[in-house]
Amino acid sequence: MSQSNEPPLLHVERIEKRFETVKAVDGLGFEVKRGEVFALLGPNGAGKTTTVRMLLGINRPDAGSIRYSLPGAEGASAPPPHLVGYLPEERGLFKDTTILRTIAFLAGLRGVTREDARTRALEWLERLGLKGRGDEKVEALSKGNQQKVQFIASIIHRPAFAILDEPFSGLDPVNQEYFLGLLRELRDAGTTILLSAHQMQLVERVADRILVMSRGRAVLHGTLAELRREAGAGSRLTLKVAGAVDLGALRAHPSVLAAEAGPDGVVTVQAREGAELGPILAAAANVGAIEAVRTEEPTLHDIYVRAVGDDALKSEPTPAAEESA
Amino acid sequence: MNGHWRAAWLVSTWEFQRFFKIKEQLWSFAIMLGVGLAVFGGGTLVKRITDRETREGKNRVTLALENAAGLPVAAPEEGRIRFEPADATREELAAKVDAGDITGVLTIHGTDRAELLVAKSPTSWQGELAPILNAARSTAELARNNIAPEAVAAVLAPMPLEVAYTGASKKPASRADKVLAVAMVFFTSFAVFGGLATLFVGITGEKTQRVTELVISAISPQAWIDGKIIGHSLVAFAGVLNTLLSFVVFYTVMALLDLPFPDWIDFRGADPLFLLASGVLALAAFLMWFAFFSAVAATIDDPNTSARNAFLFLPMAPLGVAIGLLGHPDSAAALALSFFPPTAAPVLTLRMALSEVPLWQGALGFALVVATGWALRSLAAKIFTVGMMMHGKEPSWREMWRWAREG
Repeated sequence: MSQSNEPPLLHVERIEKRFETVKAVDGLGFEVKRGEVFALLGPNGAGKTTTVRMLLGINRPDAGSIRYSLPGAEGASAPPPHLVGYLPEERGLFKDTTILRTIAFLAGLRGVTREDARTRALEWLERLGLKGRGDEKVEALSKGNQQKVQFIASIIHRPAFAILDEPFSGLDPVNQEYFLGLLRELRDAGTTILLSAHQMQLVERVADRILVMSRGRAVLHGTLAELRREAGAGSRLTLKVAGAVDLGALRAHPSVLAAEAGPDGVVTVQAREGAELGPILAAAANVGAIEAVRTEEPTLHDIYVRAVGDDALKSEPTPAAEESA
Repeated sequence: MNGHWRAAWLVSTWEFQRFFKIKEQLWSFAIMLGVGLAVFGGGTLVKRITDRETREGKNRVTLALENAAGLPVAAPEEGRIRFEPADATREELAAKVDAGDITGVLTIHGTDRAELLVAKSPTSWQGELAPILNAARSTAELARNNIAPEAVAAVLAPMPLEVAYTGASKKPASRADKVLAVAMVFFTSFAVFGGLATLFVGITGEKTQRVTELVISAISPQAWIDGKIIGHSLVAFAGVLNTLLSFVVFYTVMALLDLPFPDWIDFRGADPLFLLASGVLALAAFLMWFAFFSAVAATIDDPNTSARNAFLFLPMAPLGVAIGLLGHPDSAAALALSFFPPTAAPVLTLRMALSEVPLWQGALGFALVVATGWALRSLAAKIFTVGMMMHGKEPSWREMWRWAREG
């Protein structure tokens, strides 16, 4: 992570982008600090891809500003190609050419010589379990292996800043874990990463800071701990109850945000942020015959679903609004 | 080389390596050579064989001649037709025709008409008989009217016309220049049509394969489009070169086998300056068309179904216009079309071969073609920037116009 006196690598200020009748990005602002993994999350259509394209200079914002602090590009609105790596969500490869030639070409576009590209590509292919397959055509690879080639192509030039859009998609759980390790390794080697993914359980393990978008705006922003506070979500209790379940007392308790009964006598209780668990446990005694209790912090998944869900509800027109429309 | 052109060159070499297939070029070379030799050489060989057979008395046409005194006909030695006196009755002669002993019976009715009795259609040799009869009839008519053949020849001889030029005028273009002009116009169209297929695949295919976003995050859309234009131009030039090479080998083989080929195909005596001027015009026109088609391709979502494929036929229009002006190279229309970018190159090239084109006209026409190509190249990049990331629908003309203005 960067020193506090260093300027952020990327400063985004109130950017907007409109397409025809849709405002894809609406006053979005954030900073990406040097050496961090910054996660940009949001549901489909939240404006993530549009934001990423603006960060890369593919599209220009209608309003607001983007400023990079990169060697030789201080204050630039788009990063120099040799300093940025990009794994787009909409991705593909030249299927009729060989793996090595494809990587060498894409690396060449980012300033890597043919010899260096070949050497580095062979190293990466070996690391990712594709040793000896460099001369095969891309179309011979499985979807997961094509994903690996795309990943190699996006970071082979050792960029200062990597934008990885859905890097885990198409990978099996083992390879997802491996990629998680690769991201940490890249970060430790000095690459700042902007990550967009839907696998919340993976994101929360690697992201230093997180921004959740919905309808083109930021709805949550900060570290995971900050997000928990911002979302107002406290610990979660899971009770195993024998026999009949009565949630009346729990739901009426002021420190309880929600209480749900599941199958097999499992009761889930979501406490409010900062609430003490003792009084809640006391109230839980009225639920029934408790056999087991487990407490856990709210996951990113929980926070995300709650934040995005709340925002979606806000966007639902009220009956009055519907009448007036 | 600056960053833009370095990136463009990288894209162009990549495209060339992807789309120039040496094995296919060799096959194409062999097929063109084979077809050329089969068409021209094969025909000549067949004629030689039939001529030899004729000399050896095979394929002979023997006609019994009745009433020969009415019109003295004589068959040339080298031809297939031979006459023999009709020394039998009509029925006996007809029987001989049916039996195949003779080909037919030719009955002369003075200079009025002749009658031919055959068992099979005379189509294959009737063309040989007609001049014999015509010559005999002309000779008889001239004699009957007391006209000397020399007098007829003098009457029919064309009037010699000698053309002289003042010192200020340029000398007329040689026949080689005229042939070269037509060849240049033809090969420009050949290169455009030949290269369009790979250009379209190169642009729309990349869109289909979802590679574009990855590429243009690294280089500017202008560098990308320039690279595409250069790379696919090189592929097209390689195709033209291959065709020209197969022509050279074809003529060499024809010469080695002592086979005749059209005498108008002779570029000896062509003016090097004309070659240079027409070549530069052709190159500019070619690049202009490629810039135009790269813009069209950038808007196409699915090349198999897009109505915009019809644009592919557009380069044929200037050809038709240029050919229509062949007889009027100095007309007002020819002058106007010399400055209209789509027609400028073929019209100027043909005008240079058929008439005289002032330097300023050639320079202005060339400059307009280059400027149009340059503008189309910029337009293509602007349309491409937005259009290439549109999947599932093609941008409307209004959208494209807006992008071009805003880009």
